[in-house]
Amino acid sequence: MFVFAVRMLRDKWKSFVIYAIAAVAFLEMYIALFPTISQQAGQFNELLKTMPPELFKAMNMDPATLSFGNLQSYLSSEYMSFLWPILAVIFAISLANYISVSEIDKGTIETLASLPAKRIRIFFERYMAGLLLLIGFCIISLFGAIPLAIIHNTDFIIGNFYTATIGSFMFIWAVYSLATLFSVIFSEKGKATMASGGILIIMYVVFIVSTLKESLKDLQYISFFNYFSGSDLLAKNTYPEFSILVLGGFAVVVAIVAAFWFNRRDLSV
Amino acid sequence: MNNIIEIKGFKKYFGKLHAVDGIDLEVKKGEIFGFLGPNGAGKSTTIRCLMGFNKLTDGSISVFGHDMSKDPNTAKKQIGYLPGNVKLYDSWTGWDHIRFFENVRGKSSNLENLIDRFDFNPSLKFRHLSSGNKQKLGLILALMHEPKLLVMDEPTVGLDPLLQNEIYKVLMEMRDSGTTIFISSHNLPEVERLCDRVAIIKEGKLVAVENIKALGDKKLHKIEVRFGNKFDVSEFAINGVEKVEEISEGLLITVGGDLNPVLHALAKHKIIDLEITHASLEDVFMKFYERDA
Repeated sequence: MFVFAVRMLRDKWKSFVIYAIAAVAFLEMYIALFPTISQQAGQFNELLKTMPPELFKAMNMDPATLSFGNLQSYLSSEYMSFLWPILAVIFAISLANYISVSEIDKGTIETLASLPAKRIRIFFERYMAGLLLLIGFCIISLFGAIPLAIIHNTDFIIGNFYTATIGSFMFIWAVYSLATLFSVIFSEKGKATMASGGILIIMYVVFIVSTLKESLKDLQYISFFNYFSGSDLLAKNTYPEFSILVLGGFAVVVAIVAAFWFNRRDLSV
Repeated sequence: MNNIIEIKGFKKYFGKLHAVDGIDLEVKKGEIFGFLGPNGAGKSTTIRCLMGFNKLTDGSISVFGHDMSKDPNTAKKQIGYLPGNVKLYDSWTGWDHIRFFENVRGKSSNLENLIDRFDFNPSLKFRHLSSGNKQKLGLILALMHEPKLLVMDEPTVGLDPLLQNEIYKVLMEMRDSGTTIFISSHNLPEVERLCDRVAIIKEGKLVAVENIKALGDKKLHKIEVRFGNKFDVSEFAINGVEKVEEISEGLLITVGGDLNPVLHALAKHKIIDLEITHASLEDVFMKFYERDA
């Protein structure tokens, strides 16, 4: 039962641990600094007010929620706006590549395909195993802040971390499905990675441009970054339902398309 | 079921490249069937479609009566597959591979026997194995569930003669126990030694399907002759002579069919040395390839 999922979990657990430890290490660094920073929050907040609003838009931050006076706002700006998405996106792409393109690139797919197992089964077992690892990463990389906050005697609101975990997972699930699609389309790992990374960079640029230019405002809806805001999730504890629908719907539909593609494609090239 | 593999009107195109362009083939139960051709002739493409890795452009391939385009997994339960230059998972040990295969295919009853026979250490990671040991692991994985059909794509490429011989022995034993073996190769002595029948593929089309003995009996002879007097190559441009090559003080003549006209022509000369041999499979193979070239 679930031979391919179990094997993927065994193969990827080291990466999972490394990414999770990296995330917790960054959290520790930020939270350890927080008591000192919060004491000078007034000065920092004054400094932030002098910065142009466009800069915050470019960093996908809401200046209204930007404050170093509480842990949630502080982490949303320092951790969730840039560092966490980078870690999560790289991990998601590496998991997606494992599903198909790495095997095709290395030539090991022939061994896998010679076994009496349906391609759909191989695909979905691996896809779900990857999803499980991403859920684990989201939980550790966000809820990891709670014990660290306790250690550093810092106040926190646990509900905000629930919201942030759900919102972050929806975002990274959509990224994972997109990367999975490229993983089954391409036969070279480099091309699949470039395609996934390239599309995300384009989405980010489109989102920034759409927030800066009123005439291009509607373009924001084609970007994942419109549905993922660290400020909204962790600082404001808000997550619009349409974001869940858009990211979740995209993830499910694209995963089904990827499964269909994997089932039809030539595996040995 | 007498035919284990049935290929009908099989085509595989990659854009404008016609890798395989309409072949029909049957492999009977219990035979070792050789699939011959040089690099790029379409051997590996055929095997990949036979195994269900790649989709067919046209035609059909069935194994044990199962259409490999629609239902490959029922047939794969009884197929062992060994590619040339086995590519497995670098970070896995031999045991990891074996257990993974057992988890999918079920417990193997002859695993210990195979490990002993090939003197293989499954505790090492794949990346640390020599090419010979990598191929041994591939062979163990292909044989451990005692398949009724063994598909091998150039299985002895790059192996030392000792391991090659061990593989040949295993294959002969498997054939004797009723296993059908489909082996692609461009190693002609290997094919000559192992196979009962061969198919020769050229530029994606089959040019011959022959019993190996019949192929050898094609009455293709090589005559190596050294003359004690002057001779003219054109004297030997006679019916049945396939090829005439000049060698030191003589000729190397390849004759297809009746030898007598050539012997009559030779009798007109003073001969110092004469050797007549049956052409090797390689010569027969080359004949197929040079024809229409």
